[in-house]
Amino acid sequence: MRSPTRQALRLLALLLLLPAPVLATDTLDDVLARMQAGQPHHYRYREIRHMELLEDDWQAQGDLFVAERRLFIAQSLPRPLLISITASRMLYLDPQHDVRRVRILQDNTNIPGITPLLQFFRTSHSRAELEKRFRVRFTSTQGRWTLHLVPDSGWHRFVRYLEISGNESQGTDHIHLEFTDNDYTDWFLTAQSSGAQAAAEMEALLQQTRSWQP
Amino acid sequence: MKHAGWFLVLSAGLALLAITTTRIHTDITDFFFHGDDADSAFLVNQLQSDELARRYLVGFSYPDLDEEAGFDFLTAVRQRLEADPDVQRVNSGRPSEAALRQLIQVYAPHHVQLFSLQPEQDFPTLFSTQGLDAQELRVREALLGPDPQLAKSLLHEDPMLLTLNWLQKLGRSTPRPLTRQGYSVLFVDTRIDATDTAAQARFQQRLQTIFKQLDASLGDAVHMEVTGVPVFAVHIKNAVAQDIQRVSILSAASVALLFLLVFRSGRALLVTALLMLTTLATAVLVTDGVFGYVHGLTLALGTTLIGVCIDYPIHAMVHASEAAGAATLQRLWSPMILAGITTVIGYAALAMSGFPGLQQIALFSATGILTALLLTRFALPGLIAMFHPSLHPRLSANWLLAEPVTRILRPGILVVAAVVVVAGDSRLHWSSDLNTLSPDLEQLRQRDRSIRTHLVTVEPGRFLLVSGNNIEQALQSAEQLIPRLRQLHDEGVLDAFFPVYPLLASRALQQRNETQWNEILDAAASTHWRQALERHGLNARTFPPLQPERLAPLQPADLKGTSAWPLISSQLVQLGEQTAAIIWLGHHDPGRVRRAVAGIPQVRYFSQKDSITRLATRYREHATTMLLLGMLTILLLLAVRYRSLRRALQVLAPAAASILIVMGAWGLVGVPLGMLHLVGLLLAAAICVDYGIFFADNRVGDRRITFQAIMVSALTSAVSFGALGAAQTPALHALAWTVAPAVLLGFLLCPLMLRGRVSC
Repeated sequence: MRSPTRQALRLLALLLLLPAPVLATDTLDDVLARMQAGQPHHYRYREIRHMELLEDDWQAQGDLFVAERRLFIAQSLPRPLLISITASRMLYLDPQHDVRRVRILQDNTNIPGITPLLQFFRTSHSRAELEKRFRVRFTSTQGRWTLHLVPDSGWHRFVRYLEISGNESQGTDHIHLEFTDNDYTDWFLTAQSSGAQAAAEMEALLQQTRSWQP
Repeated sequence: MKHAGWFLVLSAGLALLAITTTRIHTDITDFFFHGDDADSAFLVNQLQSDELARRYLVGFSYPDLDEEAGFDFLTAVRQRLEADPDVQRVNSGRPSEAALRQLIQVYAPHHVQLFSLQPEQDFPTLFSTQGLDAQELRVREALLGPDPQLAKSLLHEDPMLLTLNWLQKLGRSTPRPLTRQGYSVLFVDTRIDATDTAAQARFQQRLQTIFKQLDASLGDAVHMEVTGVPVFAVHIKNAVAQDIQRVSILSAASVALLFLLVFRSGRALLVTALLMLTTLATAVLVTDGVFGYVHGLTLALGTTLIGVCIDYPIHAMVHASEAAGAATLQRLWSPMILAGITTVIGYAALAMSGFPGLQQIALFSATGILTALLLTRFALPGLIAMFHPSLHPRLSANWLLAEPVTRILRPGILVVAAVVVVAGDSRLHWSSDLNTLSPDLEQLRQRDRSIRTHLVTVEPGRFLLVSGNNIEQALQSAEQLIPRLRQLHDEGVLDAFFPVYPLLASRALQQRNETQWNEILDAAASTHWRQALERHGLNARTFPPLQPERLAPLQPADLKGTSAWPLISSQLVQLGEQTAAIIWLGHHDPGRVRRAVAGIPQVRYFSQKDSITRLATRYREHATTMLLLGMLTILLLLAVRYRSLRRALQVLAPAAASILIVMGAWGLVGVPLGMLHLVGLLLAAAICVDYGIFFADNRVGDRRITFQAIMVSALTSAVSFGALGAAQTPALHALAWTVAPAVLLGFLLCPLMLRGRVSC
């Protein structure tokens, strides 16, 4: 049952939020308008998951690529994993355990566990659409901007809220997702490259992935 | 004259009624099979499976499109199809997220009962240190996986997440599409009645339109292939419909042309056409009334019935012209009745073969023959009086009756015939492969194979049938078979197999699982489990305790209405008094699988093709016996009529010789004979026996007239049956090349075998 949707969550969220630098004077509309993915971006990420069922926080790290039609993650720790999400399918490769799993996405905005972020992605370019699904609060203080999103009741029963933030004039560097059972996950992101270089790096990893496809 | 007028009205009325009310079927299984025992009923059920008969497999190839564009295209196709009122559902062969969730909801409470096929080994293994470590690793991975909420929601009733083990087993046990770049398959289930090929054809047209519209927007970058039972059904229906049209037109036109050549009289043609039209309309209405429908093949064959039924009016008209006018008809009545009865006996024998198609043909033909006889006797004189047709044949073969000619021809022809019979009949072989009778489906089959290479799916038509007195027994036997199938899979003999388990297990197995779980679940086991949780960094205090299970076993009825039911319902079937569980097989070596399960009680390797062939062989053997009995009855009838067995044999001789010669010819050219050849031989025998009776009886005392009448009959029969050679359906070719030469031979052999030997 293990599949890559948690990382996909991270990827998709980043797709929405990472690529565009944000000016200090930006309003929410400006931020949303610039959240649409344009050229590819390469990030290094660190994920920390806090769960009551775990003795300790769980951590993972690796590289994340965001492109217009693909989200791609190469997790390096705690063990190597490759995950690719396109509109039609989610591919999960675990070379250490020789696991190749494909999940056909009939509705790629409805993947368990990451639905809120996917819905956010789909509507993030429109404040009106966003406000249909979330209660939205945007703040900008002490050199950082923060977008606080609370899913409407019944829309996603497991998620209490999402918080996306970054430095003034910068893109997203932190995402916090809190669940109704008090578990939460944090993603910390560091931009590595963008444009042609990021595309080339992603392509190299994609080639590696294709050779593993069943 | 007055009666003739009423006849015209009646004729038009019957024709109109037949055209407007008759229900025509084209399903080939209607024609060939009948569920007269449990096995054949099961076979028919399989062939006519409602689900299969409504399902399309649609393959889309888009090698030049990127995944996003391909996905958008498929989504658009799905949306358009789902909006079609005739479409029940469209899916890609993998359960949707919603269906998967529903499955988990249904099965999660039964995670212990469905845990293993060998609970006595597997539960101790699960609770060993390694087993617990493996399971807790699975729990941890699930919690740290993409859907931790699903894992959390299961934990309260399944703290070890055994439901995930079940889900993994299910993934291995269901047909699914292979993942290929640039290729996708959609399963489209329609609501259209399986027998409504016209509606299926309209849906296929709509599917093509949807595809073309969407493909055009992508610059024709997508190639679509469609297969499925409805595709085959529509193709066969079209082929049969075209055959009916082609054969009817050709047959009618050929007979009309021949008639005009022979009689040079449009009125003679009109009179005969009226009689034949009434005959066919009556036969169609009676057949429809008895069977509830008329099969397309019966109709196609029915048009050739003209070739048989036309003999009576022709015989009468030629005699009426050449002898003592219309009054002669009364003198011909007796031999015509005899000829008609012998023919009907032949068909009655065929009807008793058990072959449903032949039963319908027999009724159709017998009705036609009796109607033609009655019309010849009671309607023809009035029509002759009304239309005054010229009845003098302009063609003559009476030179064959000249003694010097027959003296020269007889020995030569009889020797050649004897050689053909002896040499050919010894090489004769019969085939029960009904595929050879269907219209050419090779192109469709290739497309079907092409689409199925993209699926990990069942091999159509071959599976294991595990039977029992009830579901419980069948499930138990099927469960015992799984280890053997796994072994075959490991040996490379069997690509995949799809048993009922883990969707359902026998009550006994569920009970064993529960018992083992409850027995092993002591304080020590719980402690070991908590220790394993801690070893994997899981917070043991937050996990609910392991509890003994006390649940009623999961029953098939519990699954009705859930997303499991469509998966399981086709695998549990009623087989007469027994219940059977079907284990679908992927690509496999039939011989080795068959041998592997041979000797296991209750288990049978089922091959549709083998079963069809066995059934067809049974029908053919039965039909052959019935035909021989029929011929014997005809012989006895003739012996009674002529008060001499010798005379009866003489009358039958031309018919018997012509049939043997044609069979010999088939043997010499190496063509295997099948059921439709048998039908053709019966038709030929029926017609040729008539010639023998007419020739031998010679009621008007002038054999030249009789022979001339027989010649015209033989030519019309040969022409109308020869028209079947233009059909696409091989079954009709078999008839064409059996009946046409046989009736010509029967006609030619009459003067050679009967002249001067039968006193009248």
